[in-house]
Amino acid sequence: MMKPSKLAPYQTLIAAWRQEGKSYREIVQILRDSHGLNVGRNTLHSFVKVRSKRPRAVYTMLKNTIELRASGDSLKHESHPTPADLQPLKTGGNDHGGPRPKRFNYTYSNTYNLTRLTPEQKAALEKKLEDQQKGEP
Amino acid sequence: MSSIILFTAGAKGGSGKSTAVRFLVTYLREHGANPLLMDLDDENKTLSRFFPEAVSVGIKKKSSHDALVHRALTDQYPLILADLKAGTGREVLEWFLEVPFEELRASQVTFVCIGSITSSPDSVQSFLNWAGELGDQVSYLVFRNLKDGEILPDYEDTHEAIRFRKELHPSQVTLPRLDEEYQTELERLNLTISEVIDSDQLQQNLSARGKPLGDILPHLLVRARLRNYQRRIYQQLDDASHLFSPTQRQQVKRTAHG
Repeated sequence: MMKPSKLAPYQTLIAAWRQEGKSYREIVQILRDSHGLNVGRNTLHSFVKVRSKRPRAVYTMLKNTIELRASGDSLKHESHPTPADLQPLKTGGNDHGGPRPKRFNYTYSNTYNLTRLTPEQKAALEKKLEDQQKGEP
Repeated sequence: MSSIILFTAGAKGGSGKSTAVRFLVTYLREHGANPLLMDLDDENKTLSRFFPEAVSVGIKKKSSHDALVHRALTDQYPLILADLKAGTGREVLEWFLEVPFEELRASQVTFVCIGSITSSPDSVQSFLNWAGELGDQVSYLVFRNLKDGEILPDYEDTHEAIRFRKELHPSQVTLPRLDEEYQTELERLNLTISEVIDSDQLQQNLSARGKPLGDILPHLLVRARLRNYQRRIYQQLDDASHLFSPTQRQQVKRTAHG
């Protein structure tokens, strides 16, 4: 049996920090300073990468396709559905009563842990966040 | 009947949370609303000092905060304004994290988190602690309090605060620095600016609510300055008024979603 990673207890925290946009270097530093854990950047990178693999999409048939089948009506693409007939099954989010996607991830801290940005970094972050929001449905 | 619960957040004392609440109370009242005031700061009782009609809630244990939701559901106040104790730290936040926001939203009870940010890094840190946990389950109204300086670097220029502003879209109100002499007099006499400028008993040196006005505040020029100061804040609150009106909130939400 494989030995569990020493980063395993910090998995949730690391995920939150990455979502906040913290670099691997910053996370290594936080782990060392705040949690007394010495770990290399490469180890952290591998730990995140392995756990970042997207699960394979599970495809499900459209609801109206199933209803049509039940009613005995003919189906246009019964044996060879087109990509348009297939939709990945959502695994979370509001539509299915799952957990709400959380906005603004920030880790609670009793000590100062804010990262001041230079004007250039600030402008770049603001642009990135604006672009992200434009891309949202 | 819908109800909006406005509450102050952040553990940092002296950041101007109660000052922000005072402006909100007088603004709402002058616009025809009559919010239920709940003072959950059993140490300072600032809200009760300025508004004796505020309901004092002893917070001996975490569940004492249940009164907030209970009042919203049973007494059917359209607006509840709660001033929370500073320095409460994680414990009160834990209470908020147990609140079934979705379920309450279905009962038309929604929440607005009020923050007050100064140039003190702690004021930003403690507020973001709350926002990070509450996320988009509540709306946000942030007072940028310039009492300690014009620049708020930890709110304007940090990675975390920028993300907060861009992702959670808080309404923002800037509280300019008020002359220290006036500020001290207002605090000493437990007066809101509104009480001073609306006073109609200047001959007796009393506010409209019968409180002494002291020696400085009744002067014509002082009252004119206070009136201008308040006007600047009210104009900004006008822009945030969708937070206080259930119908406007729905309209804004619909617009935002498409």
